[in-house]
Amino acid sequence: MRRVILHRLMRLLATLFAVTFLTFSMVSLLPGDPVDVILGQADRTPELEERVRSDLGLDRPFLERYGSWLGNSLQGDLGESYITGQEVSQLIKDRVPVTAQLAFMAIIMAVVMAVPIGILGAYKQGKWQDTVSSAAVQVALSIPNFITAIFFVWIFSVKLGWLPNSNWVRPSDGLFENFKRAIMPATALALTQMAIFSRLVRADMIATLQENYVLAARAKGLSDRYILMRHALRPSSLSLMTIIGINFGALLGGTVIIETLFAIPGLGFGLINAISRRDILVIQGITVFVATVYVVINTIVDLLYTVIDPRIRRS
Amino acid sequence: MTTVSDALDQRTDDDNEALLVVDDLRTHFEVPAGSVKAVDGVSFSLARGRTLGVVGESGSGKTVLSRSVMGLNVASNAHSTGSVLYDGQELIGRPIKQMKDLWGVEMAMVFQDPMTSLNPVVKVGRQLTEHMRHHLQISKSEARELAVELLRSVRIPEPDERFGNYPHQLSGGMRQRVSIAIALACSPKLLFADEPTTALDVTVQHQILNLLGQQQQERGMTMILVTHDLGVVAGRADEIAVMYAGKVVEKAPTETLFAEMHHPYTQALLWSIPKTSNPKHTRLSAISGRPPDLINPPSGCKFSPRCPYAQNRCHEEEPILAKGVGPDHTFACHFPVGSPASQEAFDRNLEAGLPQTLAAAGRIGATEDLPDESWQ
Repeated sequence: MRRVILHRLMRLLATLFAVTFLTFSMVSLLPGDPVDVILGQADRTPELEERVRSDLGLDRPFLERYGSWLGNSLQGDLGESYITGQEVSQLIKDRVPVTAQLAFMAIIMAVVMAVPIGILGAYKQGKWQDTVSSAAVQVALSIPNFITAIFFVWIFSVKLGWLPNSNWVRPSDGLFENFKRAIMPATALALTQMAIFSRLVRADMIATLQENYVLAARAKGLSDRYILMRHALRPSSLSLMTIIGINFGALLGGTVIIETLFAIPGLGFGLINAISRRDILVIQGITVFVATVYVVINTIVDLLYTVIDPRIRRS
Repeated sequence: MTTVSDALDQRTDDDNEALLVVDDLRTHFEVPAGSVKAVDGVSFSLARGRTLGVVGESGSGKTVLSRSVMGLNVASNAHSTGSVLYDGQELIGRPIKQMKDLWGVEMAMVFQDPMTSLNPVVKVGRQLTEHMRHHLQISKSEARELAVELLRSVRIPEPDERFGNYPHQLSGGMRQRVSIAIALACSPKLLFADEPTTALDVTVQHQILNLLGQQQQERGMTMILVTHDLGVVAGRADEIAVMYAGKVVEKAPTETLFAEMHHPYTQALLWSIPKTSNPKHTRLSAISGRPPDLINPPSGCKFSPRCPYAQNRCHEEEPILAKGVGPDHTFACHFPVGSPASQEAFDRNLEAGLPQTLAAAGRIGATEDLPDESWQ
């Protein structure tokens, strides 16, 4: 176990190194001079431009810049926003709970919906129940989540007036008010995930139901429900676990459009703002954070495999 | 009013009558290319406490037969007709819900491959006790006690510890012992053993077969033992049914069958068993050709394209299962092995250079690819 974790740690470091290097170089490759974006139409003097340039370290070579950033961040100092002066680590600390809440709600809703739908589709394969649920899943999969979100806003905010569509409230400032604002974006995110998950569960379940041990369980006179839940579900959930891990990571970093749409002060919204302002250190900081979480989650998923399939435990 | 002695009389009567009567059982699978006649008109009856050996090569329909009798053909394209009377109850057409009351308790099955018939993610203990608790309505601890006792009776060492193991922690032979224990858990009256030793080491096969036989005797179970190996059923079955292309082609009490087999296919199966008494490097006498297409089976006798004795009549007219000389000996052949007519037929084919006849005579090796119209 210790060796596994050590191995993972090494892998995490390698991943982070690659991710930071790539984002650093991509930020440098973005068209347009960051100095132009930062100064905008303000009164520009060559001296001012020079100061911004040296503050950002843009007058130094790329590798040197990357090296000093890496050195600082290894000591826990991710720098501060050039625009607002806020510390990047503080900014992340403020925004992560918001995004994490959305991602959590979305994934949990998606799994709760997807597992029964997937099982039903596999159990009734080719029958009308399967046709109907597959069609519904296909629809959910084809509609981008921001369209769903806009649709929700139109019904629940504009027409019915039940749910507010902006002005985020933190859970600490009122759980119910927070829930009212989180439910629409989370559901919009969940529907797509649900579609992906239920397809996986259905496909894996169909394969599992062909297994001899399922036939053997039938020959024991056990009920179909028991066989599905006790014998077939666990062997059918390995790929589901994988994709939950991957998509949870993706949701943490990639709910950009939904967060922007609902003006939710999460990581994605923060990232978009930083990119449009060329706030390099903020971009870097958020990217590193998301990459770290991503690798950690996938490590946890790998370790969870052993819980589902005892055969992996030994090797 | 029935007295105790009446009831006892009744019981002995019951014990004498057959537990299982199968009549003209057919199981067809509908596929785009047509109808696969996996079991095509099989009839037999099996008395309580007896063992029927069902023998045939892969694709002869023996597995589908045992699953059809049990009602376990779950594929939606499978369709069974005919009659299966179990203990006086008709099983064909019986709703699945009611079949589930029989499965596991009245009849149980030991599957071929214990590597795949045990769920890898469920502990041995649960797989042993889940149907006990379901059918017998007993508590968890009672079930556990019974299960450990069962494991001991199928001679698994340290049964208490094994109870908490996963299947992959056991060897192949141990796993098959567990499968047998699972099948025996609710004390079924009828046990199907579908190639129970095929996936196992030769050294373990013997032990497993002996275990099955011993458990059958102790519990007075009726058993259907399905195998491709005549050697497996030789000392263990009371009666043997040889299947080919979904039909029984020869059926007889075991001793009778070995003493005077009449169907060329039975003979070919026997010949294909390697014998240690043979000199070294003796060519293994395989059966030429391949099992027939069950969608469009050959006309006449289904074995005729591969049969070393086949004559024109065999390709045109399907022989019916008829009584032989001995009691209860039936076979379906126009030129039964051992008759002068069959010897003539064999010699004629040998002269004509029919490949399967040459192979049977040991002149050439058996080949899988017989020309379709090899008799012409």
